[in-house]
Amino acid sequence: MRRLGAAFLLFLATGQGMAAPTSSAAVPHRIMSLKICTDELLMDLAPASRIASVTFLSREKAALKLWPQAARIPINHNSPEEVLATRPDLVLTDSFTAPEMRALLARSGARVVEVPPAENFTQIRAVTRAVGRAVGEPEKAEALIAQMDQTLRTLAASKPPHPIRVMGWGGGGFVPGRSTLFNAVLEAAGGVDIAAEDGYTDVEGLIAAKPDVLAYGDDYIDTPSLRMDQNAHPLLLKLYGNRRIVYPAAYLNCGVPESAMAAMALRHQIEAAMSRPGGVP
Amino acid sequence: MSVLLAEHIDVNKGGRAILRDISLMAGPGEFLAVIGPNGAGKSTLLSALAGLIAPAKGMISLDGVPLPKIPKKTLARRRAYLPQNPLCEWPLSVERLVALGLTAHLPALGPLPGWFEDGIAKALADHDLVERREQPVTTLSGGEFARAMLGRAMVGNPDVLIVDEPVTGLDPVHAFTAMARLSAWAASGHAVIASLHDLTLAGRYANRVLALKDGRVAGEGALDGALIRNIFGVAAEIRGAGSHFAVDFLSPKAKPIEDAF
Amino acid sequence: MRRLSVFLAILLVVAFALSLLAGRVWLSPQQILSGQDALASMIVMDIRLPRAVLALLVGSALGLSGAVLQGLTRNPLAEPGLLGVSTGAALGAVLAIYFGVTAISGVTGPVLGLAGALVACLLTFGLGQGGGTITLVLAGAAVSSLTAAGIALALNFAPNPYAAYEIMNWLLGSLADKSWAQVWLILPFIVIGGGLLAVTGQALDALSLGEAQAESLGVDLTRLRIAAIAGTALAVGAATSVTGAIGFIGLVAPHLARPFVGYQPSRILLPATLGGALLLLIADIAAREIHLGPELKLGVFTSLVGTPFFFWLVLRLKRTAP
Repeated sequence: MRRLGAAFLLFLATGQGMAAPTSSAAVPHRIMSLKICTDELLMDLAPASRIASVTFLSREKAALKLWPQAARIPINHNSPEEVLATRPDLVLTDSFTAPEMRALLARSGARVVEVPPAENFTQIRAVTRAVGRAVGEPEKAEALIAQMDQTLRTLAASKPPHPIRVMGWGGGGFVPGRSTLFNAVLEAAGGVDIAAEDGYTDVEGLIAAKPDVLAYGDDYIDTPSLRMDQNAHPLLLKLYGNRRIVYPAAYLNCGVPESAMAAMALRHQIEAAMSRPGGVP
Repeated sequence: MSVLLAEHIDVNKGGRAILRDISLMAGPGEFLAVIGPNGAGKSTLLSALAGLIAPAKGMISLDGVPLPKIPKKTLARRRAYLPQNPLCEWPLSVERLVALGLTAHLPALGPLPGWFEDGIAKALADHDLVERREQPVTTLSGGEFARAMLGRAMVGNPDVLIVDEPVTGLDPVHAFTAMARLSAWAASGHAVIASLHDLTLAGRYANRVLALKDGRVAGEGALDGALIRNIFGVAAEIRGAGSHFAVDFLSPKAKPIEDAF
Repeated sequence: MRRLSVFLAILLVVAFALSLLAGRVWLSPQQILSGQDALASMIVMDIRLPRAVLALLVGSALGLSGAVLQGLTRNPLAEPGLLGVSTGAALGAVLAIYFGVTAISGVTGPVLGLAGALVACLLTFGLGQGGGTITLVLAGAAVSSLTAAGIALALNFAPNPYAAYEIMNWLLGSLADKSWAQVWLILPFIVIGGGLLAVTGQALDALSLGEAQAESLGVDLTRLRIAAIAGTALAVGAATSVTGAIGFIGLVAPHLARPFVGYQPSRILLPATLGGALLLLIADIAAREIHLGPELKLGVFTSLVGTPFFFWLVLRLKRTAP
C-alpha cells in the first residue's frame, strides 16, 4: 500500500495530472478508458457522446446499477487491437500497465493519462481533479468534490461516540486488508475495520474477534458457492443474523466521489443494525 | 460321498467351441486323471466340472442335482478346486492360507466353530507344514507352496477335489509325494479329478484315465500304447505295472536336413 | 487386531479432545468445561465439535474404502484418491452447488457427489482392471486428471470471482467452517456406505487366492464388486461433497495397519477405519495450528504424508516385482 502512496506522489509530481486542454476545441472527444476505476471517473465527468469506450467490467451488475450509462457506451477489453481500432485522442488507464501496452499507447498518437487507484478521500479529490482536467471538465470535477465533502461533513457531525466494530465479510473468508478504500469509507461512516492480520479468517476467527456488525458486498452475495457454507453457518446466523449489512460494492471497488455516498449508506445501515440485538455476548 | 457326473457337455469359451460331447463320471474312491496334448481343453473341462463355466449343452450334476441348482456355498463345501499355478496375492502365513479353504464353512456372524482349529491343524500335519505354519507363503519353496495349496483345498474335507496340473513344476520327489497324497485321499472315500502331463504318474497313481484330444474324448479307462499313440501321435513303450508302471515315449525322429545344393 | 484397534481407539479419543482445544484461539479445558465462558462454549459446540465429528466420519470412510479397494484389487496402491473417485465426487458436488441445484434441496450435494464417485469408479475399473497394478493406477490418474479439469472448467463458467480459491478447496479438501448441518446431511450416506464396505471382509480374504479360487470357495464376485463400489461411492462420494477431495488417507491407513495385523484383508478393515479417522483428525489439527495466511488445506498435509509414502511403496514394489 505504501507503494501506491508513492505512485500517487509521482503522479502528481510528473505533472501528468496538470496537463490540460488550452481551448474548447482541444477538448478530447474520443476518450477511451482502459480500467474500471477510470471508467467510473470518466462517466462521472464526461458526457457519453465524448466517450469512445469503457471496459467490459462497467457492465457488471453492481457497477451498472450505479452507472447505467455504461449500457449504451461501447466496451473494450484493454487490448492493443482495440486501442488501434478506436483511435482515441485521450486514453485513461492506471499505473498497472504492461510495458508493451505503455509503448503502444505512446505510439498511438493519443494523450495518455495514468491515474492510480484512490485509497482515501484525499486521493479521491486528486484523481477527480486530474481526470476532470484531462477531459476538459474541471468545473464538474469541483462540483462533484464539493458534493462529496458536504456528505463527509454531515457524516462527521453525527459520528457515533464509539466507532462501531465492523468486519468485512462474505468473500470466502477473505477480508479487505488494512489501509484500503473500504477502511477509509468505514471510518467516515463511524466504524472501525477489524481485519485479520493476514487478510483471512474463518467463522471461528470471526466470532473470536467479536465484531458488532458484519458487512457484505452486494456483488456476488447471491451466487452459489462454498462461501455460502460460511454465510449460512448456524452460529453465524444465531449471533449476527440481525447484524448484517450489505454495502454497494461498486462504490467501494474504486475511489470515486460517490464513495462518500457509500459511507452515508453504510452509516444508515450500521445504525439500523446496531438497533437490533446481536453480537457475541 | 458324492458322485460327479457330466453328460454330453459342450463348453464354449470366448465364442469358440472348446469341448464337444464330453461325458464322465467320478465317484468316491476314484482318482480320475485327465490327460491330453496342450490345447486339448483339459483346463476348460476342469473349470466346467468345478461349476465355474456353464456348459453350452448338456448337464453336470453332483449326486443328481445339476450344479447351477446347488447354492454357491453348499457347492463350495462339497467340492474344492485348484487352478493351474495357483496364486496367493498377499503374503499370508501358511496357516491362514490353509484356513481360507474353510471360507464356505464360515458363519456370517459370530465366533468360529470349534472344529476349525483342529481341522486346520490336521491339514497342516497331513501336508508336512506344521513347522512352517507362521511363515509367509511368499517365502516358501515351490514344493512347499504346492503342499500348502493342496492343504487349503483339502482342509474342508470336500467330497470332490478337482485340481488342474497339481505337480507341474515340482521336482520328481515332490511330484511323487503329492500324487501319493492325492491317491491316498481318493482311496479314503473321496473323488479326485486331476489333469496331468506326466503319464507315468497318471498311470501309477490314478484308477482311470480320460484322454482328451481336440476337445473330444479320445479314449478312457486304462492307459495303454494304443491310446497314447492315438492322442499324442507318437509311439510309446509301457513297462511295469502298479507302482512300477512307467511310460517311455519313443522320441520322434528328427527330419533330415534337406541338401541345399 | 484387537490390541491395535483398542490402541487406535484410545489415540482417536485423545486426538478428538485435542481437536476441540486447537484452533486460531487455543482454548484450555477449563474454559470449555466450566461453562462460564460463553464464547468458548459457542466455539466448541457449534464450530469445533461438528468439525471433529466430520473429521471422524470422513476419515473413517476414506480409511475403510481404501482397505476394501486394496483387498478387491489385490493392489496395495488402490484408494479412492488415486483411483479418481474423490475428484469425481468433487466434480459432482461442484456441479450441484455452482449451478444452483443444491438450492432446491441440500441433499442434492451428497447425491451428486456419490453419482460422480460412482461414474469415476466405474470408469477407472472399466479401463484399468485386468491389466495389473500399474494399469489400474494409470487409469485412476487419467480419471483424476479428467475430473479435476472438469472442476476447473465448471468453476470458470460459474459467476464467481473467487473461482480459483474455490477450485483449491475442492481439489485439496477442507473442514473449515462446517456445521452440524453438514454432519447430519452426510451421516446416513456414510453409515450405509460404510456398512456395505464393512461386510466384504470374508469375501476379500478368499479373493487373496485369485478370482477362480474365490469363486470356487462360494464367493459371489459380482455381489462383492457391487458392495465395494457402491459402498465407496456412497461413503466417499457424500463425504467429498462436503469436504472436497482429500487424498492419501485411504492409501496410508491400511498400510499402517499391516505391519501389526498381517495382510489378511478382513483383519485390516477395522484398524484402517480407525487409522483413517485418526490421520484426518491430526491433519486437521495441523491445518489449524499452522498460521500462514489463508488456512492450509487438508490436502496439503495428507499429501505431505502420503506422497513420500507413495514413493516408498513404489520403490518397494519395484524391488519385489519379477
